[in-house]
Amino acid sequence: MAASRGDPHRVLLAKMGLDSHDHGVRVMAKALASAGFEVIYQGTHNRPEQVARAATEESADVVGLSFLSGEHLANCRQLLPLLRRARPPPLVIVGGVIPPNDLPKLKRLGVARVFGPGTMPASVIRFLRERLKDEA
Amino acid sequence: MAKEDYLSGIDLYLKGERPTRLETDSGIPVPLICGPAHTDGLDYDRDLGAAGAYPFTRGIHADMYRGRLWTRRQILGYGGPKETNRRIKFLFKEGQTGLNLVPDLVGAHGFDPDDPWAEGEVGLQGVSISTLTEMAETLRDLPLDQMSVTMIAKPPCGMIWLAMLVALAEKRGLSPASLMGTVMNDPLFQISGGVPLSTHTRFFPLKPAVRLAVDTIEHCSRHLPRINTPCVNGYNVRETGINAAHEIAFTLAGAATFVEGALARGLSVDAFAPRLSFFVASHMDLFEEVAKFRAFRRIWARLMREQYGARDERSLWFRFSAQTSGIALTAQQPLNNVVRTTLQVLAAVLGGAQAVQASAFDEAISLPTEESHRLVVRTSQIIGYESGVTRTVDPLGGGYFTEWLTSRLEAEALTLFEKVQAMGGMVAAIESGWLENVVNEARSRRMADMEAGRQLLVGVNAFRIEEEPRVKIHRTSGRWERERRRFVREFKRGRNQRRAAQALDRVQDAMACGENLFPSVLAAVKASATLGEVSHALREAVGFKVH
Repeated sequence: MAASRGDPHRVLLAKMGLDSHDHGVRVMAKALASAGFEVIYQGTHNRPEQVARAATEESADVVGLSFLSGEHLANCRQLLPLLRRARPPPLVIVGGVIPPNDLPKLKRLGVARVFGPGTMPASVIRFLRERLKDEA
Repeated sequence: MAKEDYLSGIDLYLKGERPTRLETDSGIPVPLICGPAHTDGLDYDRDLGAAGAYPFTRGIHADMYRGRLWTRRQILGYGGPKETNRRIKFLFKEGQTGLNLVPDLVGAHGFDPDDPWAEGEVGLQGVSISTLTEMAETLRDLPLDQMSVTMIAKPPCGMIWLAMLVALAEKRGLSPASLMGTVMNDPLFQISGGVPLSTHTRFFPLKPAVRLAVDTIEHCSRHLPRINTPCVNGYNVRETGINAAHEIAFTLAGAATFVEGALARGLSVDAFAPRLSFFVASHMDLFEEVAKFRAFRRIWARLMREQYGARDERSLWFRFSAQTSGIALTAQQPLNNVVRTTLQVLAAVLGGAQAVQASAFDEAISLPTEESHRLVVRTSQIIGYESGVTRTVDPLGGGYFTEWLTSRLEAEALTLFEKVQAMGGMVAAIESGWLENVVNEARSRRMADMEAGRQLLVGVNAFRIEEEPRVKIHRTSGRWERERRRFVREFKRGRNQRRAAQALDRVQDAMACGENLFPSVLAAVKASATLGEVSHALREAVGFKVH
């Protein structure tokens, strides 16, 4: 993991569950790639084990998840413990439609930051750069 | 307040506000003003005709809204049968005139609530109905022979739900032939947004799904004359960010797939085409959307008569329901969406829609509440009863801009349509990844336009206020999931196992040997097979595995 200095950070993006509204995550994928990140987009309909395996195989520094229809807690509860097994574990961010009441729950599961609807890619890029700089 | 804050508004007046772009949403450069030169060559009888007369550009019925206002058919379905039954009755009370059911993603993809894929997803984005009993509960107290039931579902779910409706009618002593409604059953639209090939083939293979759709067309043409199918869905693909010309081309290419499939079965075009209908978007570029609906009508009428040899006038009608575009709405300043939806409904009405479904204003952040659902119905009622636009047919017809834009869009759409047909039709366009490329390109362009300020979205990249979108989702999947899972398990325990198993074997046989599947699916739901079990049997029969 942790790329040697100079290598771009690796971001794995994925949607889990049955929903396939992937507009937001695809836009984010493109924006992050343009900003110099190495982006791997796993597509839609991933099971938690599939995302965890991909994160390991791809040496992901960041895992970004996108949720729309209320399935975020069920999926994160399964995925986050799997991701935490990695040494070091990837930074996890979530985007989409998440009710405010669930933000603390996601935080407790290990999600670093949740980005709501209408977030412009620049905010996500800014956040990642700062957080990853700290961890370098 | 800082001086700059209010001076900016004054500055705006001095600078003068202008349109940010001079093309339509689909990129057609718009003339400063249109005049006779723009409609030179337009022949009234050949290109327009009266409403109700070929090529139906002005409307499929001679009297349009004077005869009957558009049906208000809000899409609904959430949680379980009880919640949905309650909401159905509420909406009818508030003035909704048709029923429009959508399955949750679990059912939509052919799973039961107790499947691992169902975790966290039961009762979200639609209603959980996997058994005949649940269908009966959802439609409790509702007179099936007096109301129109629409089901927004693709195969296999659409076919299975229709079978449940037929079984329910029989149980109630009604002739299935008296059932009215629509089963969308279009296998080519992507459920819930995504467009890559994977979403078409992840849980059910594409070509067998097309076969199920054609089986349903065939069965309905013989036994369920008042059920419209398929309802070709162009809305979902439009929501990916493609433009109006694309929408026309891909929707009609999709329809061509079914027409050709049914003709290949030996059905005569007029035996099924009158029951074919469309589900399309109503977007923000008002005049372009009106032109789009008119172009749709003209292209379809000509295609059906000249290419497919239809003689029955009803085969030539582009009957459509319009869903107001969700991608145009924002989570920021949600009340703004009431304004957007009003414009979108108006566009659909000026465009001659037979039915209109409008989004609730808070749809970006939650499922509609009773209040927001009611407001949507009121929007239609206010336009219908207070604005006066219903008094004359095709009010924008004959306008220089309208006719020019209709013809321009038609030309662009036809070029694209022919391109898709040349590559083998929509199935080929999907399987080859071509459609996915078109969509990705459109998405990038739209995002670039937004970032450059060419495409303004009020509240998002212009006229923002400091706020956090207040997201309120129905977070009850946990409860529904437990309820529905328990119900399905008990349901399966309490039935005649042998009868159900035999019925499922029959489904597999029919699938494997190319029989029309409807009768065996109907028998299966009557034998208490579940939606997930029937879907599984169909997958098994063609050797398809879900990973």
